[in-house]
Amino acid sequence: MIGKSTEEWCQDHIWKAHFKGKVFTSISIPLPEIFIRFLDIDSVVVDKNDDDNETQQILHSEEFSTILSQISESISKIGGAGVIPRLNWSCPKDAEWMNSLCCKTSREVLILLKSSVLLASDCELAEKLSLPLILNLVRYHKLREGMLFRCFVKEKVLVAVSQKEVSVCFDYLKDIKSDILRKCEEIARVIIEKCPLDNFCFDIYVDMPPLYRAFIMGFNAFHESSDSLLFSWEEIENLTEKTMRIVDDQTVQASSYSPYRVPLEMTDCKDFSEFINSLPKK
Amino acid sequence: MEGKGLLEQNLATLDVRNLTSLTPEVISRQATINIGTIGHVSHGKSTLVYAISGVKTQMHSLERIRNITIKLGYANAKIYKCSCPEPECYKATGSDQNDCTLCEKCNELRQLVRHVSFVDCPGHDILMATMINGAAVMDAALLLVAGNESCPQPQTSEHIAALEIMNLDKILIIQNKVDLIPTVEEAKAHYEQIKNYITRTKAAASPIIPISAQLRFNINFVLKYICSLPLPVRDFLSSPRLIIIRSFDVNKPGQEIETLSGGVAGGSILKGVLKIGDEVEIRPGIINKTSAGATVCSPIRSRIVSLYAEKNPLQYAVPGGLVGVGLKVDPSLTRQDFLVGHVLGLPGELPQIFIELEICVYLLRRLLGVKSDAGRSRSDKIPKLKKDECLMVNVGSTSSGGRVLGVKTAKAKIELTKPVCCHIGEKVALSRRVDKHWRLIGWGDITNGQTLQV
Repeated sequence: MIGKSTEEWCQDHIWKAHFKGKVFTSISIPLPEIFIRFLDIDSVVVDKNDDDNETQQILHSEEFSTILSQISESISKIGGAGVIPRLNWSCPKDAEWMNSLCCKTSREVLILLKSSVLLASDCELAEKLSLPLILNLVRYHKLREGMLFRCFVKEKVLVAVSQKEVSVCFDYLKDIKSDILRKCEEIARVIIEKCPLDNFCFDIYVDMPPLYRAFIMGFNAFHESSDSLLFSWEEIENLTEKTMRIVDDQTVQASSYSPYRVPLEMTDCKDFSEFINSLPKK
Repeated sequence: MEGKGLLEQNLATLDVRNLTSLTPEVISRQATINIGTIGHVSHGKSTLVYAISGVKTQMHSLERIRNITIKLGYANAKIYKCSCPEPECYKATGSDQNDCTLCEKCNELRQLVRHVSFVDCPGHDILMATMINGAAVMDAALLLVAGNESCPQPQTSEHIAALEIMNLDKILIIQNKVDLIPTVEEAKAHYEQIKNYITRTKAAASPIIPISAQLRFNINFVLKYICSLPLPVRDFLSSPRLIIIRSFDVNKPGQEIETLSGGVAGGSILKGVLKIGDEVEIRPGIINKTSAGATVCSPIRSRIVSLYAEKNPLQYAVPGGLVGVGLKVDPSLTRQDFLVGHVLGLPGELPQIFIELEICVYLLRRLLGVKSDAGRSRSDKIPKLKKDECLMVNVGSTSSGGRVLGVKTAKAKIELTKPVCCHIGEKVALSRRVDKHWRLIGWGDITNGQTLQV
């Protein structure tokens, strides 16, 4: 069980406030009931038409238009190439097939929010913990996926670092491994001082040498429901010295997000044959 | 060429008409046979693959979505044969192993006889693409059944049914974990249980081999079976076609412009042969919107500068497993899986790019199998398509969003959120967001559409 205080800390709008200068620019917008209801309705419809249903009633309402304006204004304010719409904890990376993660309009934001399974999970969790649902519009940056890392902190000590993109080998990492580890330790010291939790994971993006400027991307619970990436949770619990792991196998592998690009029936083994049965016969 | 002990590939003398799934210069470096490993996750699939190839395939569960286990599962193995009696003559190693080793027992050099790819999870997009396009993704299957659980386990029947429908009749049933069965009688009884069960299925003629993957017991019988399979027939002669399932930028941050490596695309070759030096095209390529909101795309033209399968560099690549293609292209174009779902082939030989599709739709009556969350009183009946709703459309080798522009009886007009390469007459899969998940609601045939001029 993940404690409520951990879940609370891991929310974007909570932890970001403590690390100015070390995070990407973002604006937080609390979402009213009507928006939460909009997200919950089946089927993704974001355009107004004259159908008579709840989605259309909401889309036509003044309250909803106000929120959309707020979103549009925030997108302009943040500038740059666009924004990534996150909810309290997660990024809609699973819905990239529907729309690019980089949103330039409020319509694109709506489409991603409604299409993402990961964000639907955020909605559920917020409701369960009676926490307000918050939309975080984060300035979009094209990142080098090899420079994303997850750091594991146990009893206020950094114990492990893993490459975050586990299905690709970046050869250059082995030459800069120690520089990156040093950066993780440096940032960990700052984070541990401000974070009320004893055990947690944090994700960072490390930018170009020689500065290797680090940006904090998010927090997760020190718990088996969080992806331990190149470690197993058992290993992390039993580590005796600080360990950093990167991928050294060059074999091309499927993406971790490929299950999200197909209907659920195809990923749930139980019904695979029913799925194949439904295939129109040749 | 690097790759110690591997056979040299020579582009100058390559004649694709002579290629087979056993050509020595090919199988020295690349897997040419795809073997699916099927079975419940706890039945020992990864242990078996590890026992054969020495490769640990990883399992992850993504945060907060505990019921989806993602197995990154391509593991390749080379199978050798020496002069020892069967089945001791068979030995398997990882892909980059030196081809010339001596068997201490019979004092003969081992011959490389097969190079296989164990496909646990081919990448759902590839699986979907090959299913709707009718191609086979597996040449044979190893179906694992745990010896210490009664047969049939609930999923076993589903798996055999799935194999039947995929027209896969080369199945080896593996009775795993025999080391955990207390007595020989019980092991035999379980064996008979399996045999009895399969007589009523299409897998009736499948051999059953008792093994312990953990203790590496009887693994060489598995290798013997693999070597006895008829060779898959591949199309080496057609114009090459690669489905891109990954793309990345391998340059280190701060790399000087002059020494930048080009972007890399990873994927599955459906047909034909790719060679270093080939001038290729990637479609749809770079997608932009004009100020008027119209979509335009520019296919990417580039040249292949490198090819690899696992850790082995190649001069040419054939269908089988996943290959990496190094391109002389701006690496920022391949960063972060940007090219996923695109197709790569020779210039002028790729399908048209569609932005709008007209589809003949077959809606399912009800949602399949998986039940909605308990406590929600939702009917599993599938409502008709409605205007402006955005669906998940699996088409060609990719998934895209599709907004319904209009519906007339069984026909629908759909505007794709991203342009897609496909043909008229191809099938598509349609899914709708139902209760926090994307659920299959039907299939369609592409009858017409609007293409983008390039």
